[in-house]
Amino acid sequence: MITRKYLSRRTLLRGIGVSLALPVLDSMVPAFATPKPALRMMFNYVPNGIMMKDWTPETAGSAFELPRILAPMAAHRDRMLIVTGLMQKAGNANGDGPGDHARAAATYLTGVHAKKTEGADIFVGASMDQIAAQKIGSQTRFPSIELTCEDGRMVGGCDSGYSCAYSNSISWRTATTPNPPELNPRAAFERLFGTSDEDPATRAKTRRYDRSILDGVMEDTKNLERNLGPSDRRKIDEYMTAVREIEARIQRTENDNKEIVPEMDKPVSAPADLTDHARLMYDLIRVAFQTGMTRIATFMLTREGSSRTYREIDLPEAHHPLTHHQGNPDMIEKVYRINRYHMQLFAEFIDKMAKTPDGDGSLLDHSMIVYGSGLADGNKHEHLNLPVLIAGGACGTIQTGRHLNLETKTPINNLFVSMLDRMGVPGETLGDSTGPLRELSEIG
Amino acid sequence: MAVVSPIVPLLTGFSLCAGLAAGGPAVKSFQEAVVPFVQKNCVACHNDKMQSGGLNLKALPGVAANRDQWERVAEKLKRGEMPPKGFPRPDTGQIAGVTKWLDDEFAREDASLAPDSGRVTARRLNRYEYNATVRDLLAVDFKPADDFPTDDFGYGFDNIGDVLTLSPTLMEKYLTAARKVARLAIEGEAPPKMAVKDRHKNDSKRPGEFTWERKFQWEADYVIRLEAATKYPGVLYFSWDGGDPQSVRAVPGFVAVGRIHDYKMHVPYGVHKMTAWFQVNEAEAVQQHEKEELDAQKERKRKGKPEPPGPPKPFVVPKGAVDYFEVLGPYDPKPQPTPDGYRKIFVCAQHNDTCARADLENLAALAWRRPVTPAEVDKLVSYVKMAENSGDPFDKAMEVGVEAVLVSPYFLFRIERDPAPGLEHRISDYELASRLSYFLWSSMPDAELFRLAKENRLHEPAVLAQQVARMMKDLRSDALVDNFGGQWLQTRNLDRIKPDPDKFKAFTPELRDAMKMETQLFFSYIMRYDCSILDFLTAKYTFVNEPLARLYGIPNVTGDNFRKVDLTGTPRVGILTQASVLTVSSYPTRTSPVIRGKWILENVLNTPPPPPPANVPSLKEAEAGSAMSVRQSLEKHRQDPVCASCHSRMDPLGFGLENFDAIGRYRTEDGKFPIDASGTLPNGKSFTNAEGLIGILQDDKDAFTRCVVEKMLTFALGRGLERYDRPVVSAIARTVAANQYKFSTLVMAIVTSAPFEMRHAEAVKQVASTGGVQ
Repeated sequence: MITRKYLSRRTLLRGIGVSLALPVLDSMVPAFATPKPALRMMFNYVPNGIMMKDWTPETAGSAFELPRILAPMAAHRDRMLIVTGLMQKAGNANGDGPGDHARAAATYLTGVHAKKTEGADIFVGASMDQIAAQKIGSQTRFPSIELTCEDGRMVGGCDSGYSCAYSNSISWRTATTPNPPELNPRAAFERLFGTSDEDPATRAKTRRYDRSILDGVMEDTKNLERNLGPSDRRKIDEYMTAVREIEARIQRTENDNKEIVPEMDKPVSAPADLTDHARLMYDLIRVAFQTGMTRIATFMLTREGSSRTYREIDLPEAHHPLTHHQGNPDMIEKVYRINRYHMQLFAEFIDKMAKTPDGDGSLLDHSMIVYGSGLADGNKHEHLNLPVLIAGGACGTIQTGRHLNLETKTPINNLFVSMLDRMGVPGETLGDSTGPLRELSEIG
Repeated sequence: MAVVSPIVPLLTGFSLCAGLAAGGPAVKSFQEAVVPFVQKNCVACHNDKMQSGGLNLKALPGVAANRDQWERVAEKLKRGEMPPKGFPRPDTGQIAGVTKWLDDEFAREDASLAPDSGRVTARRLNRYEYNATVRDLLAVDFKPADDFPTDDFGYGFDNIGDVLTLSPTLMEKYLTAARKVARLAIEGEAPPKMAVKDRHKNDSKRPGEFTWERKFQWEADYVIRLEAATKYPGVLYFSWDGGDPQSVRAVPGFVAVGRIHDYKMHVPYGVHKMTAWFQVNEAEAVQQHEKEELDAQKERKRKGKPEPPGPPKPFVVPKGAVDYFEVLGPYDPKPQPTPDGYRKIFVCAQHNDTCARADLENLAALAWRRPVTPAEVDKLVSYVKMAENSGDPFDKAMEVGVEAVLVSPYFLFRIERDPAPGLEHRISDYELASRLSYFLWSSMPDAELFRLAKENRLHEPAVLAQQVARMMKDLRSDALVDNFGGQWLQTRNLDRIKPDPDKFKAFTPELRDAMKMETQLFFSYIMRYDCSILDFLTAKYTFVNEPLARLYGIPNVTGDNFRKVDLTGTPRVGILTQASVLTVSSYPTRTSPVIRGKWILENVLNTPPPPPPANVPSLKEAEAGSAMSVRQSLEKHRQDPVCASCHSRMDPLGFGLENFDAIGRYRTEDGKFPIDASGTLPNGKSFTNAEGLIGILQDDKDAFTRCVVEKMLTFALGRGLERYDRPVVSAIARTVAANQYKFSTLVMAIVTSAPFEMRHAEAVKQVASTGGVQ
């Protein structure tokens, strides 16, 4: 137990009345944090593409100027890499007709062409964050976390004959099971750090009970499974896999036997204002990284194809219809404002990551955070020349401060394979990947 | 991981399939009858590259494997929508030849199609069902599933077995929820260590009575705080549980003192109703107003600004409103009374291990919706013993047993058992009870359904009919209104939709709720009074309260309560003119005839248009409102023959509703353009306004009935409909038509249909079989 630290930190917070912006003192870093900095990986997905003319720097190399969408990142110019020319080929129609929004999200991290279905036979592929989570996730309490700021509940189909599962998740545990992202910051907080009204002894006892129940349930389910047809069995398999994963998690928690206390107060609910909501979600990710709860996160700011309106920046129109601007300058400007607003939220998060100490550097030094979308210009529904920004030094393995202008149609899956390699999962292939993206660490 | 690419066989390689399936005498083959026509007239656009309308006729070998597409082809040819205007037209005889061949082929195929009840994949409870089931099982109403990840949709509904997946995150939430439900059911909720603040805000600052019915979880002292939202002084009234009002003077000002008043009171456990209103003091208001006017005049003089022209506007004393209620507490709370869940769990008299068996057997049978085996009960009892051995007292230890019941797959999933692989069979009466209860109530079966299942009588036609009638009357069938109605009509989206607050100031949270309530009441009226389902289209009645009546321009409706009103003499009729539907089918800033037209095609006619072609920009509605009216810009867009093929169906339908703005208000002008709500459908029928359009729609009773049948059958079964369901859909639609289109007939016909009462067990090995093809 490290309750001593718990007390000092909480007292400090209460005394000052500020909960989030405080730098963490080194003495407070949980005692079990590994001495060698662990690399964290995150994907920040934004929907409906980005106005590429306001995103892509004019010159390649290190002397580039930041276009106006990226301007909020000016302070971190040297801590980021902009990559132009990447393509997610699996997002193309390939004879499936319309549905580029659904495909954009579903193929983004999977690299696999999604099966077009309303639901009977959802199939895409495991996403690369989950490939990593399954290989190295056992080193942390949570193999990965998935968050979003938009509820997916919109009736009436999502995109042209594709099940909503495709546009609602970029993280897929298996080819048939999405990892739906968490919307409620309070629920996400409680999942990571537990409810504070329990004492450690009660929590330990609860864990023990839960494990017995799950053990027992597993046995029963094995008997059940034997007599089921293939479709029912697939569902029960999902159940058993989930149970197994939670048992493992409980076991890991029992083994390390530590109380982890986050550097943030428990959020109350999901704020209606996107600025407030996104800040909470970003804080959760940062704190989860900082406390070593997980090393892998995916964040869909809003769902792919989102028709959210943006009161936060006085924009009453819905996002998705605006992106079909057809060259209308007024609409283009509005899309730009949304893109820029998203980037401002992200830049705030990167500020905090840079100010959060982690071992011999900052959390940002030990992270690679990809900001991007599965579409380039939303008007054209293109899956090539995707917007890609990588923030963070990746423990010195990515040469930042550059605009990398690659050959058009370079597989984005090469980038993902390189990232997996850095996460300690070498030798993977993903979709049309042809090998790691060597330019990440070389002068381009 | 490999990139999955679809297999695209060549048209020419497949002459065999269709010809063989036919098997009749001297019938022309697909290759002879269809291919030359298609090559000549269609593939210029519907090819590998362009795939206009999402259709690639080069990749559709034969009818059997691509029935949907070929049906669409036949339909388009028959209606004269294809080839589009501006392209060479084949002569009528040729078209008739091809469509006849296709129709004959469809009929041959259907004749050889074995009837099939289909299979439903084990359904996980969705969020609504989980909450409702826990409520009915253990009288716990804190809605644990609100914290679960959103359920995904398929086929327009969120209860589709194949689509409801279970991630580890969700499993973990099931575990946490089960623990909490067990604790609340047995112990009740412990009061918070510190008092908390709970606020109920009058969002739109509506004047008049403002009420809050709130459940007080603990008997305790509370502070009830209310604040007046007013510019002028007056009297703030407060009434507790409908008692005599107390009053206090309240004055405006930035300082809270004066506007805010606190009542300290001891509140008994339970739901209490608070009511408050604020009355402006007229004399003081007039006085204050005159002073303000004078000050403004002085100020203008001082700055040398001119006086506004004309006589001063007469001053109307504004009505004051209550800003919010706030409850602070509990202070010095008493424990909760014994929870209802406690009695539901401890059915056996004693609190000991023998009784634990009986209690858990009872609970598990209810929760798992079937009888349980002694071995299953043993297992549950073992958890209780484990907890007792760890030092928990009996009641506390029982919580672990309850938790185990609630995380079992038998609780979380509705699993139906097959006697043998591949066998088509009638489902058990227990399974039937669950199918009924989750269809009509979105919750578990009640005691009566369980009793009839136990007696194996539920499936008897008379018993079944009587039970369905009972269930429809039960208030739990409101779930059918919310879940089926709200998803079919898409009015659920009202919670998410945000009309531009500058353009639509009238769209307050209260109006939104009123819109939703109107459609709910309308649906439940048709359901509970067993009206004709055609009323959905044609009813000249609806339900309004004051905010909605104001939007509709219906006079003499005051207060928050809804009442049935006659719509004769108004331009409104049926769901298509209800504000809820009109709002969810609009953009936040304006109407969209295209979205509304699509809404009608999908939800009234069940002929959804194909999605717009990939990478072809959608229409330039964007320009509308500036240089052209929406209508003009759409008409321009329809000059493109490719677009026209679908938009000539969608747009006119939407035009018919143009007299209603993006929040459903009647209008005759849109900005500077007068509204033209006339239109001509592809079949040549034309109309001049919404009523005319709806008249045309109601003429095609079959199309609408089939549409409702297909939607409700999808919802009832929790799966998408397949080709083999078509005869069933037709039969249900015929039955409904033969019984004055009664709502109860629709439900009964679904409940007694083969796909609802039966189940086709999946073969363990996937054997290649396609119905009756030899």
